[in-house]
Amino acid sequence: MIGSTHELCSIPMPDVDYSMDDYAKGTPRWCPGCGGHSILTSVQRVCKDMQYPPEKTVAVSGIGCSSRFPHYMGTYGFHGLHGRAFPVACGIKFRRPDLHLFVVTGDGDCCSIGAGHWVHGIRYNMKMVVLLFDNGIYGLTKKQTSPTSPMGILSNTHPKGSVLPPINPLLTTLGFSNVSFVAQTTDWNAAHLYATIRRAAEHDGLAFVRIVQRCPAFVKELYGNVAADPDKMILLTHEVGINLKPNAAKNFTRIFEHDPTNIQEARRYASSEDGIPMGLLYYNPNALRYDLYGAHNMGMSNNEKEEALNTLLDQYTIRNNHA
Amino acid sequence: MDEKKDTYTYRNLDKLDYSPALEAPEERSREEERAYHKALRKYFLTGQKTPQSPDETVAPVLLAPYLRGVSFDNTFPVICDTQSNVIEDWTSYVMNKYIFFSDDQDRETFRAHLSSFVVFGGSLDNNERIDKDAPEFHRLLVEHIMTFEAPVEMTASFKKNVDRFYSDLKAGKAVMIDFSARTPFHILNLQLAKDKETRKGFIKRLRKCLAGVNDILGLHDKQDNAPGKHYDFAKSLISFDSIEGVAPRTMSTNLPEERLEGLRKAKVVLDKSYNIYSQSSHLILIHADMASKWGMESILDNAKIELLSDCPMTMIRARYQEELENFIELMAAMKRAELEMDQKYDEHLHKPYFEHFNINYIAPEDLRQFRSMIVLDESQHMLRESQVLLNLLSDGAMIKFIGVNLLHQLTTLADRSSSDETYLELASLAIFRRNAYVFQGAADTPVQLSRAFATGLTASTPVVWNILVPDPGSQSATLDLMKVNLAIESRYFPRLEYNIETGEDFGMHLDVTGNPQHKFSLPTFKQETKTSAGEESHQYKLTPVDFLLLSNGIGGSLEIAPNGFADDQLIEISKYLTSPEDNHTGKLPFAWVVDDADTLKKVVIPLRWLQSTRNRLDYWHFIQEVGGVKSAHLQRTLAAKKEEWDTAKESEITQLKEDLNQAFESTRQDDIYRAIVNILNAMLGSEDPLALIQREADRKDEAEVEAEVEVESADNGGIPTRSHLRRGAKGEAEVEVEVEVEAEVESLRAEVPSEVWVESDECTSCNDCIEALPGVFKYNDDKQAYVHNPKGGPYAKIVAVAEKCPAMCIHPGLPDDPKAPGMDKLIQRAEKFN
Repeated sequence: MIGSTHELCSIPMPDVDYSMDDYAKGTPRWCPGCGGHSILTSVQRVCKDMQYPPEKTVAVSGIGCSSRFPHYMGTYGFHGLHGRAFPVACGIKFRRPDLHLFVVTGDGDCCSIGAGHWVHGIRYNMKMVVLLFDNGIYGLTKKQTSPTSPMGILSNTHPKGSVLPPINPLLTTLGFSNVSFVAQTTDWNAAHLYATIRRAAEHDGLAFVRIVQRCPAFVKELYGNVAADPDKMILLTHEVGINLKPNAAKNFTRIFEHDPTNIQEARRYASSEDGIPMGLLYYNPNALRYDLYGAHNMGMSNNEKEEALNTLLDQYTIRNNHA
Repeated sequence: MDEKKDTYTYRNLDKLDYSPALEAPEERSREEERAYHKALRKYFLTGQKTPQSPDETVAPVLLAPYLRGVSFDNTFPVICDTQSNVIEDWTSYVMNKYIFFSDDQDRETFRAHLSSFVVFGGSLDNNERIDKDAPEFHRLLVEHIMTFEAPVEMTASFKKNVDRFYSDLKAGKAVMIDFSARTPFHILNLQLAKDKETRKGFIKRLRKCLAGVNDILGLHDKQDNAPGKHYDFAKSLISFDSIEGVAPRTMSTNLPEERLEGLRKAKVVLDKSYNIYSQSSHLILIHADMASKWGMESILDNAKIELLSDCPMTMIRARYQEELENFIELMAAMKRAELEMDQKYDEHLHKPYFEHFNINYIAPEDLRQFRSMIVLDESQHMLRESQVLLNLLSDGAMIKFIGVNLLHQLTTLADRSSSDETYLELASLAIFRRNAYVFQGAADTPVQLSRAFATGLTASTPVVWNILVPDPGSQSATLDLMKVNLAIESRYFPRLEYNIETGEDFGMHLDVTGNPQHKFSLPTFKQETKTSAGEESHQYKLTPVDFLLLSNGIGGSLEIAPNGFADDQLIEISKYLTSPEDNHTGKLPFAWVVDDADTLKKVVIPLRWLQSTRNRLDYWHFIQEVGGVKSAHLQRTLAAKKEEWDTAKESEITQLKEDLNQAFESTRQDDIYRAIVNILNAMLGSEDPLALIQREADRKDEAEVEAEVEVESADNGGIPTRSHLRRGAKGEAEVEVEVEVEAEVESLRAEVPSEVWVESDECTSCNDCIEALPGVFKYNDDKQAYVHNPKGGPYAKIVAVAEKCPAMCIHPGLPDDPKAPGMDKLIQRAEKFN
């Protein structure tokens, strides 16, 4: 990167109207009925509606079913190491703040092997959209217990039922410092999913969205019945929250007003056992952003950088006093 | 009877504002007339024109406008999406995929504009496939779009979308095909590609079997000279004897030599077949002459082609038997491999099974995997050894025959002295065997042809496609298309499809509905005609003669009857062919044509044409009868029954009339009697007549209020018809109640949508419905599903998709015909989602 500024990296933008096709690539190889399809479409719709230039958009992922995501986006992408979606994304954002970032991670990728990066990713609060595809199972490796699998679930690692209580990703994230945006949605409500991702993309900072996702292949029973039962869904609304059109909201039987700046209330909803809260749980527009700190030298020219480097290295120059 | 009621218009003929003129007959002297008759008879028998016949160019009346440059309604060029391999009209393809309109009317206007774009007409250097670089096409198309009157920003978006369409064409996402002699084979090739795709599962299964057998044999052989060569490096490090107890054991360690031998043989077979099948699942045998003349090798690149210098059926039979034996061997090997892999081989059960393995042991779905063997030759050649061909058909040999009939063969048929028309009836020969899939038609309806190829390719029965194609190297594609279409529509070469998998009885298997006005002998069209009395609407029939007229270069050797001559001696060919012989004894058939000035003329048909025409029409009647569209027996029986019924009803009516008269008489007598009594009473002053009349009226009212009065002995003068009337009224009331109940049910039903619809906002884009029913569902701009054609798929499948939809946003509505068998269950299932 040395020797170029991000202005020089900028590609002149043709004056075009991007359509859905511009963000699509390849044929998704998720199982039929997988929630991934609907999330992919929603992200593509958000990109289209925000008119993100594909060449200025990056999808970063770790490992897992969810993490095949970058392959299906007609944008730049990085299919990273297991659990390392956050560090890669932070690196990209740090040096290229002009790019639009979508981080795609799964329950295993984020909450298990990548848990350490998760903590700091949230704390850095760099502007990006983080989508946690939480289907409560390891699907890519064919049905093993994941950290968010409910207790007692039958899987190949625990054929007689899993023995530990699961992690609650919302409650956990709400416990990290400098958290700025936590929302939850489901893959089967297309309108809410779109509205949530749209709201997350508009947020100034790291927007953490947990998407409750169905896995029709391995744990159909986990959310299969929930999806069909409107009483199991709690819609959280507020003027700064995620708001649906009246037509889409009519499908919800339980609608509550929730002030997303109230972290105690947010934690109460996050730990709710009765139904899935959907909407913006917590929102802090004043959280500090590490990417702004990192970008302070972004405007330097090549000469300036060379000079700064030389000044730095000059400190270590050994002068020959005898000469 | 129906024939009289229905009138039809020939394609867009009514929009053309074309009306030929009928001349008033000229007077001719008796002597002239007699001389002409004599000459005409001679012409009829020998084909020698009379000196009176003018030398003019004429055209069949129904086709004249098209021959003079009016564009002929057709679907060409067609486009084929290379992903789905569905062929459709290119305007709809472009409209559905690239250019969207919210307003229906705008949409239709634009479609009309788009379809007026004619580029090829076969003139694109005989290159009927447009999938590579065709900048000329692109330029013309953009130019054409720009002439559409629309706001500037709209035109700009059109241009952008046309660019996208063109780049997709270039990238091979779709193929555009124009009409030519080679079109059917392009369509076949596209279907071959699709079929190849569906056979991939089988090749995968084959590979799995091969790998499994290799595994078992490999392990076993390793044990034979253990430790195997893979472990050579470890020999000095590990003591294999000591780990024998913990090493994984498989079935193969204990396999007896006999089974191993079987597996080794299976491996050889599997190896060989895998090589063959992975190269190509289709084998096409083509006559070498034909292949070179048509450039078949460059067209049919999705199959393996074998050229034959001659195509004797005996050789094809031998080739087939060889293929079949290989296939049976392969299936046995696969079954054995799968049993051993799953460790389910049972000595007692499976040893005799494999010893007697034959074709009957193969499941129907496996039988479909038989490597397609397609024989491509002219129909004439195929029937040279008809005995062998028939044997193959009756044995159910899974050979697919493509019989090619060339246009010139059909047209010269009538002029040959001894015409052998059997090959035109290749299709019916195959139908006689009742087990084959048969299609007869041409590329003028490309969608239908492509469907026929697709059905035939997946069938595990003999298949015969008898198709009509223009001669290769012919110059005018438009004229060829017209000729081919006319051959079919004029019943010269009727379209038909025989498929034992559709319907339950024989009539249902054979489908002749692809022909226009298929219930009638000949299709009828209406045309305005100018006569001396003004414009009149005339009906013309399309006959096989029209096809011969069009194809044989009109006006050459045929007699055009001069005006005023022999009018009473001539009869229209359609009447000549379809009416009983008595009606036209001594008359000669003629067909209507028009000359350059659009004046109607009569062309007299010579005997040699008449024979051929009659043959073809007989064949059509035969097909109609076999296809169950028309049944002479049934018609006769119906006519007899109707007559019987008519006479019975007539006598009943006379009886009723008599009864009525009698009743009327008696009532009248009664009334007269009562009048006399009243008058007498009034005169005698015994009672006030007015009061009497009033009372009488009250009594009547009372009686009408009572709903259930059945009085013969009533006080109202005992008129029997009244109680009849009342009973009738009661009956009506009951009917009314029933009607009301039905109306209520109907209104309940009306709340349920009649057609399938999708709440697009709720769609999660899971692809389920789009993949299961691409004919019904499509994605919109936001990649959310909507219904583009509610009739695009079977109702059962729509209900299944609605049940599967993760967002539950598909509402299946009601089926077309809720009373069809099995529908009530489906409606019940659909109820939840409506």
